[in-house]
Amino acid sequence: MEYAFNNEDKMRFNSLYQQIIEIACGNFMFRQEPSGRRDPIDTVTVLLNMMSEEIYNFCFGANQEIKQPEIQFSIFLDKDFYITSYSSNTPEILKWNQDKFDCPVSEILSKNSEKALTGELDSATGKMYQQFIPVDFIVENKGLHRCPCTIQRMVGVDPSCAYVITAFRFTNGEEPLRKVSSIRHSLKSGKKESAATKILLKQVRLYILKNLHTDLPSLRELGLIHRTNKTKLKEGFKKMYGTTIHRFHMEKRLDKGALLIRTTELPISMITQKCGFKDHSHFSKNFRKQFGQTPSQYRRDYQRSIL
Amino acid sequence: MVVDGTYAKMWISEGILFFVYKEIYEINRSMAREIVSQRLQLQNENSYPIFCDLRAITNAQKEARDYLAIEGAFMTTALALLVKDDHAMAITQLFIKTSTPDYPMRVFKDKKKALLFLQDYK
Repeated sequence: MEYAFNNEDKMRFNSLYQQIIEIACGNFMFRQEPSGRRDPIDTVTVLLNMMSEEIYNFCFGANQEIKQPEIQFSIFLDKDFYITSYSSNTPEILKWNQDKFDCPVSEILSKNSEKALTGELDSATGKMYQQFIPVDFIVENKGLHRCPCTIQRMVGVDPSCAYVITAFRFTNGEEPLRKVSSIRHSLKSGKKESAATKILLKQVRLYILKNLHTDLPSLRELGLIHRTNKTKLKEGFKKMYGTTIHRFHMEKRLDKGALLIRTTELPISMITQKCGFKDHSHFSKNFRKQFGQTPSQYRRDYQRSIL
Repeated sequence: MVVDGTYAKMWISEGILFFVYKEIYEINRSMAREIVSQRLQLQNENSYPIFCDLRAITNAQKEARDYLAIEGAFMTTALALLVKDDHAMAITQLFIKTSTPDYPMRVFKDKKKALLFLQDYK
């Protein structure tokens, strides 16, 4: 049976086909901007975007903290946010068919990313350091290429360089050749993480996050709970998340402690218990290691900062 | 008392915490952290079932979704999410399925049904 679609619907379906092909090719950074009509085609578009995010996070995103940022490309803008120059590899990465000099930056960014970047400029005033913000660049056929970016205000004599957008990607810092050999090695030794192992480690991570109020069982017991052995758990977690199970549990308990110190008037002794610490000195010592202050100093400083 | 936060209005009424988001295109992780922080300040060390009106939200980044569902869910006994249409319903169901929260969380298009669901967790 043939369905009759109008030309616009056909184009939107073609975009969906393109997105599915990009995902099938392993491009999990590809995004499609929904039309805003909130119809079933929009719903499939957003679900595919979210699916790409989930797959990317599942396969590569977990240990982002131990990966090194690498610069992909830079784009310079004048004071009116018109593109003045960019690094030579930019057109290839963003699949531009023609030059973008003198185009407004809105032509290469999704509406939301444009807002996010200008918002970042406003909020970054006076800040020494910036965080990465995810930015969607428009590629051919209105698809989107997502990558972590920074935007900085420039000073100097050249008015055509008022702002610079720098796009990054995260790698594990290994040379490509070494990467191939390490993959071969891991294939040979059978140590390549299977999907089942990744699911298991994700579940262990969730188990830890859901048990911040209590002591963690021993690695052997944790292994028994998740039907695996201590060694596999210990090595797999470190490999996937770049930290040990106990360090991760400690960091997250201290994060929770800091949040409770900031947002409640609970006595520190009670927060100590709520974060699964048996005694105050243990909590205080580790808190100081992570935040550079004792819990009481941290509360005092925070209260002073909001006055 | 209604707290007019940066990203949402929130208040407590008859044992339920009402949390109504302001218009936001996309929630990111730092916004998520502030949202949780403001909610906890209102809760004054008590746990509540939460009615969360998502109708003014278009999207949330993966990191923000994960934080709100797990790490940011302190002092939440149950969560009812209110959405405006089938589009948001499908997206929110994917969120619930992938975030695996350890407290009851359901999505509704009908406010009355959402509040009814929370009655058991007061």
